Amino acid sequence: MVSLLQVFTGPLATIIRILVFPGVSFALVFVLFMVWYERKLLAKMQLRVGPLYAGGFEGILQPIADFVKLLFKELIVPKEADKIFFILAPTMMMALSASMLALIPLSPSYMITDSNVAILIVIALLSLSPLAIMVAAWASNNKYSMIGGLRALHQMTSYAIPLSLSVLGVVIMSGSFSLVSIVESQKSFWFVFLQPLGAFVFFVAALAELERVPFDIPEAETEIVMGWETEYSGINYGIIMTAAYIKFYALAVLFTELFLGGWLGPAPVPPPLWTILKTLLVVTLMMIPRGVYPRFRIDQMLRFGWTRLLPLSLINLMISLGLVTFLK
Amino acid sequence: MSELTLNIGPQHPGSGHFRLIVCVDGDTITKATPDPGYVHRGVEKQAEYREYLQNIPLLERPVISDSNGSVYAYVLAVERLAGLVVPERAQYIRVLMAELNRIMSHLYWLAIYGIFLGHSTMFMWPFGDREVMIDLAQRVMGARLTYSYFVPGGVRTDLPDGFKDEALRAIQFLEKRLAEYEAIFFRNPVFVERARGVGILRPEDAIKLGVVGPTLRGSGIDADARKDEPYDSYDKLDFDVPVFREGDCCSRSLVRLEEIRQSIRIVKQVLDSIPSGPFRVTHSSVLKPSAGSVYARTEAARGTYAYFIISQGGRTPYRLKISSPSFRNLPAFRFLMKGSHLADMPTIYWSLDYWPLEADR
Amino acid sequence: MCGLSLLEEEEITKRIVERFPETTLGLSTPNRINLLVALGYLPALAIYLRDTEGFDHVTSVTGIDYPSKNLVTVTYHLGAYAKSAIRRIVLSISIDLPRQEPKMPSLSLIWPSAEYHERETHEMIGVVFQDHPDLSLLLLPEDWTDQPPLRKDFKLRGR
Repeated sequence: MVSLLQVFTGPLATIIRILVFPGVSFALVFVLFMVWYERKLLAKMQLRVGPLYAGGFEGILQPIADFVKLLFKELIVPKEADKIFFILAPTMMMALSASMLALIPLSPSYMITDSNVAILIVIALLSLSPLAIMVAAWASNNKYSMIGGLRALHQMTSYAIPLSLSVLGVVIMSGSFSLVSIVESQKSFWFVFLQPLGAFVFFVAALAELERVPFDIPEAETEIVMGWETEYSGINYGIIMTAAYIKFYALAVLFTELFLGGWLGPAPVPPPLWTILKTLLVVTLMMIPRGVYPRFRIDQMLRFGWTRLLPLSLINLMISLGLVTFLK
Repeated sequence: MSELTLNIGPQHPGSGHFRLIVCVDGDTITKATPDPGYVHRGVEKQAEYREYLQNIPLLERPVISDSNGSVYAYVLAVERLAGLVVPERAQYIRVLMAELNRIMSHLYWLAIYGIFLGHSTMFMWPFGDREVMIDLAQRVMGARLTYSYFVPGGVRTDLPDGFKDEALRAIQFLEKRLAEYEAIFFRNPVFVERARGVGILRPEDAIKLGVVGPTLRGSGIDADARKDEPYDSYDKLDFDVPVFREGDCCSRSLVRLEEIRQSIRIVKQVLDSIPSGPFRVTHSSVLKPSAGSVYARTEAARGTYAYFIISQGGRTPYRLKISSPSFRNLPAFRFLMKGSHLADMPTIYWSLDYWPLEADR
Repeated sequence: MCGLSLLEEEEITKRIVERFPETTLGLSTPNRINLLVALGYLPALAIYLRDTEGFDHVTSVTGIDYPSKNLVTVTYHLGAYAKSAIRRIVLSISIDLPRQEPKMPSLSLIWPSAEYHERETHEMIGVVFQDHPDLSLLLLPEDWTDQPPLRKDFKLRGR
């Protein structure tokens, strides 16, 4: 009899970790669950029912139905578009999101890999996403896509800085760039209590990085149709959507590990389950603004990022430096 | 980036059946030219071929979200031409139905504003509550949106039994919901960010451009055809005309919210004091008003609706001119959008409550 | 409204007829003043109505085709916003133009609210408004080559 842990530490360990848990399969299943969860949550807030029929129980198989529908759709490539990059751009986005996942552990025994500069690599990969979006927007050869791509570029670049600074505050408190060490150093206090400002800044900046309401101006459909996603249809669009939700999942797990103590929790619940439960909480909090706020205008959003979020993250940096000095 | 010309065209999720040619320099709109006419159907020409009674279904179709408001002025005009005296009960019923339609139209406006601003809850809730009103209308008039209920001389059928209680229940439900709307939608910090100080229309410009309806009343001018030239039982009812002074999108929205509240007030008064009696003056089935011309106006949900009818004594009108509020609000597009951000375009567009079918006829 | 307020319509009409004696009065009803004017003094009358009497915007411009009288009549309906005492009054001025070549000075320079209405009257009846900023087609499709549709010669198919 092979115990569960032996599967994950034996000879086929790496492959199983990448393909099954916490890798590809688990991520895809979780993403499908998140899509259903978001639609149900939004529906309850809006006095509706949401998906109901697909799959028997409250429409649980609806995202799979949507995905299969997208598979059957025609792959339209506009005549004047740059064909190679048009088809490559969604794959680039997927690659970025997936590689972020590879560095984010669910628990010390169930992770793909860790490195002593893990968080730096994740931030770097996150900052590459505007590049993929610009490639998609430019390759579409469409005015609306151009405007949407530029907006996304401005937005993501501006909000990457407060994001990185809030992460820096956590790094200072824990003394290491490795995610495992960061979580281990939260044994006494979760960082969300020691660094509330940092948590807030990270939360808001993550919403902006993910292009979620109220920061979904790059795909403001009433002015620029779908922004940089305008020309994408069929499975191309499916890949972009999946990459976006994988990034969402990755950032939510990152938030739990940086601020909510990751997999730390009382015994009967196994550590990876703690991570997943806390991630679900963060995901819910990130989905709620979608039903509550309209979207910001681009200049208001940029002004907010540079004049409010950036100073807050700097103040948070000072606070963490102070805390480290006085607690040592 | 150099200047781009965007066609916010008829085939666009944010434009309705209407084309707006926008020249954009970076994020600033340098020129916005409205191009109506996509849904022009020649209603004025068709009206010359139909008898006066047959024109009612024709004329209520351009504005289906507020169909009673558009036909009201026509019916008043024909009554003045033909010298018909409308019984009092019919007058009260007409006021009641017109105000219910105003509530429906404003809820629709709020819902679509949610889409334009990217707020999906602001789309779902008003549409759901509008169904309550539409059910009420269906009880009385038999149709959801296009009623053909007002006729020259009164209304087509009487109010059903038990209508008063149903209407009161619906009104009380709506009042509770309005309080929630105000808290969640109109005082939403992001909404205020988006709408405050955007698309400011000063009173002098509002008069010069000749705008009507909540666009005018959001700029501080309290002109309302129900008060300036009362028709039917409006002079016997007690209500206010909401006016806000700032002239931006936020004030125009608040005017509409307050108008819903005032409509509720009117509906309650009508339900209390409606007299009994005939609901229609009987006349021969073919109306042949005497020769002459008449100009009648009412206050529909979007603004002042006016009809200019010239009759030469025949069964059909010789000339029927429709002066619709959306057409009169067209100059505001060019004026307000110039110099604003591209993202303000939907905010300003829908705060004017432009209905393409009504403008094109 | 009570009979006392009919006084205002009478006063306004009296003042206009004093200033512009060639004006003919149409049928008068409560809250309505109807004038028939000639082209000669039209701009002066318009400026007088706007500045002195207070009719500050145009509510509609109607073109009516009378083939039997060989005339096209253009009727402007004016309203007042600023002066609340006369808000209930709608004043109409009608001008008769020859049917073959109806031409008149554009009043959109005096009342900017008339601009789109005059443009629509031009494409529907064929009246040329001189000095109008832009008389291109507004509601009709860009490739319209037929005669103006609201003329009585233009018959709807099937009728």
